[in-house]
Amino acid sequence: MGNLLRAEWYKLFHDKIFAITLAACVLFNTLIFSGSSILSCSGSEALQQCMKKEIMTAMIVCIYGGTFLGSDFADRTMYHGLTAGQSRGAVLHAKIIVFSFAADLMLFLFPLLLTVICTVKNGWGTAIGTGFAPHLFGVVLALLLLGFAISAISLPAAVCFRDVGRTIGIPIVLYFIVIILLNSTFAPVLSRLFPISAVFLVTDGTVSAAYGMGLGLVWFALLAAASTLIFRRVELR
Amino acid sequence: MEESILQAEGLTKNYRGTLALDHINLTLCRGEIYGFIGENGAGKTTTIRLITGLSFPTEGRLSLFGKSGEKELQKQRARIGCMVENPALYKNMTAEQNLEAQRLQRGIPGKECIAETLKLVGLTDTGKKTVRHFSLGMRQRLGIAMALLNDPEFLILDEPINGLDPSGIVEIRELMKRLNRERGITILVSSHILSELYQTASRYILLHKGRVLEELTQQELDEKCRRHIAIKTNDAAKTATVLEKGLQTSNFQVMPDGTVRLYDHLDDLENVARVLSGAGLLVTGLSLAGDSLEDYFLNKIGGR
Repeated sequence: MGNLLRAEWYKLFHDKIFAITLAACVLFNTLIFSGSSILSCSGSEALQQCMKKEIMTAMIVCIYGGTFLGSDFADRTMYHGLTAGQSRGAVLHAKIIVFSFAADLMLFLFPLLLTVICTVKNGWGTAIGTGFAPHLFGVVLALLLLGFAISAISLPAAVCFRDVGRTIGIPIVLYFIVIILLNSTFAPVLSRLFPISAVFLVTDGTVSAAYGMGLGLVWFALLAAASTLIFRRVELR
Repeated sequence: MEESILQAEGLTKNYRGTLALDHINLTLCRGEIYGFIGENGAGKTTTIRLITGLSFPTEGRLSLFGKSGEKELQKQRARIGCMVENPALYKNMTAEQNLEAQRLQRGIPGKECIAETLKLVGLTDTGKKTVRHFSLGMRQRLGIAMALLNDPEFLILDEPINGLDPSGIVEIRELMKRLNRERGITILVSSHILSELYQTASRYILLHKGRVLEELTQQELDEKCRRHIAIKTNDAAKTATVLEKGLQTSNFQVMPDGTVRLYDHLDDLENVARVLSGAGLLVTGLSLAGDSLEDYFLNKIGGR
């Protein structure tokens, strides 16, 4: 597993697409907020604003998922791991771990930068007491786990269809459906169930960080487990 | 006794009702170069995919280096190097980066093996060019390099000379022979260019419609493809009788297409013609011939 992880990290940082997509995420968010008065907000408000619009970045992550996960199937590079004496589970898990961290970086790099800038400029926005550090740590952990869950939507698509097009397309279609659902009358209930909306609820305090962590973990575990089960039985090209 | 590195017993693969492999039995011995011969859809790649773990058998048992069972097979696969169909490469990375990713994945210590392997396949001067911009031949060489990086005991190459120019074909052929000779690597190589395979392999496995038609050594093949006089007349049965009575030989064979192969009197073509004509046969073809591997294979599958 260690060897597989090292190889996946190497591939991530030596493939220009990761750097390009990361830059695209930052640029895209910069454009979204360029006309607003976001820089006059406090740190916590800036973070909430970013999380409200996170679904757009999630779609860019879906595109990257197609190239990182889907292309390994499409180009048949997946079999290098199998013929290296590794189990199918280990091969996929190494890929999932690296992809999840890469996706978190894409999802949260801009919010992190903006939150830091706004906090330095205008302060955090709420009173910073003794319980602040554990609370902030909980929120950050919840966001990271929800980020894993947000990106994990690409996993079943990758292992089921094993090509780039559908690994990109299907999660994007699903996110459009989520957008429609989150604008429906069921939104108050559904927003607590979808990781993409929970990131906002965690930052604005509607749900607790622990709830966010649990939700992220459940979604991620379900999607990763389902993908692993499929991948163990799938015929590779 | 020869050590077997691969054994397949009753290996069967069914793809949604299509029988790609039909209970094949195979034994590959260490130190040989096996030529895997078959038409498109004969089951060559399916067999290779089962060996490499990309696909699962519907029935049958596979053992590698004497070990069977999924867990053991998985471990033993680390001793294999393979290139299945087109080379599987990371297109946005350079040749060196591709090999580095492979080195890390296989946990090979030291980076020296990368330069050595690139030199071995003649790809030392690709620099920062990404694989995306490689020619087909360069990709093929890099695919072979990826398969060789771990210094495998068993090398599986599916159509390795696809897209290579004539000098590239010679280089790869010599490389395979050298690897087999110097490092004792067992090689299973499939190719559609049978004349090329004939110059490389020491044993042949003929596959047709998912079944193993024949397994034979180079020596056996040479014997079967030996020089003969190909006789074509208006009556194959009568030709056989005339040869027996007129030339006192039974060293001939009547082929399914009616051609008679005479393995005697090779330097006496005129006399053979005279005897046949004298018996009232209409001789429409009389020539010295010797089967190539291609002819042999086509005859075997009934393609001619």
